[in-house]
Amino acid sequence: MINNPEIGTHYDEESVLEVEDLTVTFAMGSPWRRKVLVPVNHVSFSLKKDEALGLVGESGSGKSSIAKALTRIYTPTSGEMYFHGTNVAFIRGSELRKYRQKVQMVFQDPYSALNPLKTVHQQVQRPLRLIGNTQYSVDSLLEAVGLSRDLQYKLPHELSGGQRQRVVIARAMALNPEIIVADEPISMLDVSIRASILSLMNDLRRRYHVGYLYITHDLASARFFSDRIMVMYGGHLVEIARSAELIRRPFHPYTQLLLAATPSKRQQKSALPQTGYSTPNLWSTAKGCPFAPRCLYVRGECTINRPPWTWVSSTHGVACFANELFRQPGSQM
Amino acid sequence: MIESGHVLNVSHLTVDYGNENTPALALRDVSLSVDPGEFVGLVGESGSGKSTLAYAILRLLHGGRVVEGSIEVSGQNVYELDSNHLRKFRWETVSMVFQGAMNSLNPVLTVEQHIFETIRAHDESVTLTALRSRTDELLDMVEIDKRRAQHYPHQLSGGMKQRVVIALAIALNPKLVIMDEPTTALDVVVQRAILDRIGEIQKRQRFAVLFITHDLSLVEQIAQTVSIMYAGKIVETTPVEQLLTGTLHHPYTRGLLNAIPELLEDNVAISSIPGHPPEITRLPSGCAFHPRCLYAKDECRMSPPILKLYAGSWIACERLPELEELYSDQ
Repeated sequence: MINNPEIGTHYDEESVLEVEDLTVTFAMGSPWRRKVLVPVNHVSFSLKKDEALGLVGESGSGKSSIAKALTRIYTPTSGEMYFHGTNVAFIRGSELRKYRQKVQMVFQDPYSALNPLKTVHQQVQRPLRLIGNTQYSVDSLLEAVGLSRDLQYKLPHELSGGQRQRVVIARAMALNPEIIVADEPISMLDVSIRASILSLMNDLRRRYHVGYLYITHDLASARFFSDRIMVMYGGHLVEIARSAELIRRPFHPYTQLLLAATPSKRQQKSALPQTGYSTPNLWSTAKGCPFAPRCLYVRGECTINRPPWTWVSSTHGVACFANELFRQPGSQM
Repeated sequence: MIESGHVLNVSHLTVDYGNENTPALALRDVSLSVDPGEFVGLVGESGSGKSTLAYAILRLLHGGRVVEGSIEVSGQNVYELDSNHLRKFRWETVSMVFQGAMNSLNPVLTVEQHIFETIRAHDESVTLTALRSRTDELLDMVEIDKRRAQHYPHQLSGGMKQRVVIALAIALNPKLVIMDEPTTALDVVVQRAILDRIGEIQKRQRFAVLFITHDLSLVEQIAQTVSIMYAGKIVETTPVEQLLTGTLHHPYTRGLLNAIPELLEDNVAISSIPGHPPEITRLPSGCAFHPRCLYAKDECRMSPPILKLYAGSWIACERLPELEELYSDQ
């Protein structure tokens, strides 16, 4: 009944992480009136070596739940996550500890992600010691994230927001990760320094071959930072494509809505499609496409069945019944 | 009553949060005026003093003192009002949509009760029928279904709560509505829908708006005039067209414009401004932006620059006459 994209077969480049049919659920309510919330609903994608993959969605779309499942803060309910070919979705103990070294997380709020009682030096040195990493030193890590050595004996409250986020990144880099899951890493920072954090992340990607899952609600920064972008709505993956392609030719009605709503200087301000303001139904009893109640192209089957995944080109996939949106003559690549 | 001139006139306002030993100047010599029906965007980073300015206008400063300057609303000095007039002035003349407005609704009151209370607080004689029809009218304006009037805040989505708060702000037909980051906590699509709504109501009701945000790309969509704040000072005031197309801006404004990735541009390159905003207790001498400025000279460290009119924009920069040349050299 559920159509899933077989993303793994669409790339010849080596995938570091392949996620298949990932589902995360939370049991809510009292035991005798159990309701199940599904923030991540059968999501499949892959992350290639050194790739920056953007994940865009509104609050409640499941993007942070994906981040927490990938870093195994959450254990998925079902599905597979292949890290270099090994399924890490349900590993435990020392295996899990090893995996977590390789997949690090950078959180949204650098103010609460650091221990307020420990100096920069202590916080960066601790992961180095834990894994016996002699390849890097605190000095070299601070240098790599563009912090001066004078700051290493300071406490977090003595640093600016941007400096704190650099410490968080240095701490993640200390474990020599292959993937950094960055959950809205710039949204709490001042506008004037956001670009520097993104270019730092870019720089680390080239120097240390680290891949990113870059989670954001801002399509413009996702386009700037990511090679590919995937769009989520109501726990479903609705579209994935190379960044420029996704912006130029969005197929899914939700992606189109998101684009119309994103402020842009270049774009003549067009009227926002009148799609209502309902929020997606995340309960396990929900059927069909989560966007159907707001969709301008809605048809009968949208409220009954899960939309099929279509690869419009080898890199551009979309989950939608309204295939006239992407099957028009000339839209083929 | 028809007034000539500005609905809001802030002149040379200085606000201090510190004590005698360590001054903490959140606003320094700020002058700003808003015409009736005008939509002014006030842009600044955290700590730039933009919220302090909003609170100062409503006389809501906590722990801060106005040490210099004055604020006039419709020709009336706000700091000379007695308590009774002040109570009337708030909401009847100037209302405000607070930051995180979604949490400014009372959880045990329905939407309708919020609106009733707001109107009754200013006019005790109003009849229930009049209250009901005004409530319908207001909810209609912000596109909320009438049946929602009986609902409590927890039954509404974030975007709906925000629209209720906007309805409350315009309930008494104020001359000026101050909006402090009204869409920051909302999703992109909801944010855009609310901005569209604000724009329409504002055009219809002809009130002036002071729209405070950290996001330059938002005011570009909706404002007529934009003021940029940095470290407690307005560094530039410019018509929005100038912001979109003009090239001559304060170096800080220029830095902000370059720091935002553009959605539709193919060759996306952004750059941040080096360094970070200063703390108000340790402000750099002269122009507070000089430590981060690419064009700073010795004179920039000496005395704070004042706003000067140049090619349609008010810019506070010592190097103003040379800026055009400096920018084109790059």
